[in-house]
Amino acid sequence: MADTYNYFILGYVVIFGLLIAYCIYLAFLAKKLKRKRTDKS
Amino acid sequence: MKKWFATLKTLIWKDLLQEWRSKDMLTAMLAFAILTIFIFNYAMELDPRTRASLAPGILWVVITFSGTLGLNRSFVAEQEQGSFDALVLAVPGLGSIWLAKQITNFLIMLLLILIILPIYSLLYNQNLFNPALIATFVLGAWAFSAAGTLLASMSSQSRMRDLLLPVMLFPILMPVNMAVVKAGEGIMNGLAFASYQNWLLILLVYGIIMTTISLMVFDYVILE
Amino acid sequence: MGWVQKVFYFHVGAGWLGMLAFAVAMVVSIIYLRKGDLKMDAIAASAAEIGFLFSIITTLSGMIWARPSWNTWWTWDPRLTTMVIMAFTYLAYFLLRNGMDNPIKRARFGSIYLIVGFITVPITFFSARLLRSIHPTVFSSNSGEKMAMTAPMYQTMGFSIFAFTILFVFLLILRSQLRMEEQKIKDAEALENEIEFGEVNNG
Repeated sequence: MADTYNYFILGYVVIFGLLIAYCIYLAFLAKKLKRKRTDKS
Repeated sequence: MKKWFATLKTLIWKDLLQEWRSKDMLTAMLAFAILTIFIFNYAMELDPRTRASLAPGILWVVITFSGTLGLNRSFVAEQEQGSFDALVLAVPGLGSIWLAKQITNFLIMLLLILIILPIYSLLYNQNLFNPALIATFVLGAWAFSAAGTLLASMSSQSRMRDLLLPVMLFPILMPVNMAVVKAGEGIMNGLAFASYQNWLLILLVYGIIMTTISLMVFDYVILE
Repeated sequence: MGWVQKVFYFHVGAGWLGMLAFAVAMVVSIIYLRKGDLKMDAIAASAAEIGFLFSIITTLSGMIWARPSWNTWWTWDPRLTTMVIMAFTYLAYFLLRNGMDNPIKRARFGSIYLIVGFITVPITFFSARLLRSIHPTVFSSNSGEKMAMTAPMYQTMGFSIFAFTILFVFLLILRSQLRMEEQKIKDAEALENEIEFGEVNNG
């Protein structure tokens, strides 16, 4: 069981890492757009 | 109906004449293809039997890459001179414009294949004049020009132009590549027609689908 | 198979999402071409972006699962090849969009490419299937080794697919809204640049 444990960790890191990175990207985008919106008005 | 055919012929003739006058594109494609064969030589220092079964694949790669060069050029003239508008005004029914381009590209690729095949046979002492193999390449070239013409009409209008076409085209072309190489392998290994006919069917279906989509969608590509 | 099996459930969900996103993007593209509503284009592009992300997740998680299971990182199997081709199609789609300044042409060309691309993916899959495959087939029984799945595994997988679908809808709505605003602002800035520097590529 233990021998594939490392792969499991790697897999989860990759999957969640990418997902979280994407969510952070979306958050940054939202912040940037809010700033631009307040700049224009 | 007769008028439509006449228009089509004129358009094809115009495109071919354009290419023939400058002979640029054809020369470049040919030189590129032969040089690529030479480059492949280093990867091909194998025993003759292995090399023989690889031949369709290598040839198809060469043809695809040279074909992409040709596709890039097929819309450049209209792009640079803005003659799209003139064409649209002069020609009733935009479908014939696309069809003419596709047929022109197909004919140019045919010419390429006709010249490359003997040269390859010469260089590697391998008789490639197998009618089934030639038919496979011809079918593949048709499928290639169907997809390629549509994609080239779009990529020529983007900022990246030439660079974008291979990136757009090659994923879309995967089934064609697979089919041509697999059918070619079967043919070179002397297998029965039934074993590789599926691949040829795929080529046919692919070409029909691409042509149909292009004709339906070409308005959106050209008109503002 | 051990612990790494846990990766499998995310892998299947992500794969499902990658394909669902493509299908949604294609349908929305057709709607855009018929109606000309740029909102549809934003939805299509967002679906494509999410699909791209998840097809990468699928491929990577699949490779990580494959290494301990088949002792190889990669194999030329229809599903793997198709998934990567799909990822590249998405990528080309975004490169195409980024190269177009005219928003209408950008939307049109993007839509056309998505439609063409969507048709290619199943063709690639089925033609690759004419060749042999070692990818464990959970649903179909003709090619590949069948994975021994117990009832709880099926349930988990079903739940995973369901959960990923919900995730997709949520992300899609969120991303589309952001994209529409982003597009408006980008196009306004491009217009300012044109007025200032006199350069734009309208194709």
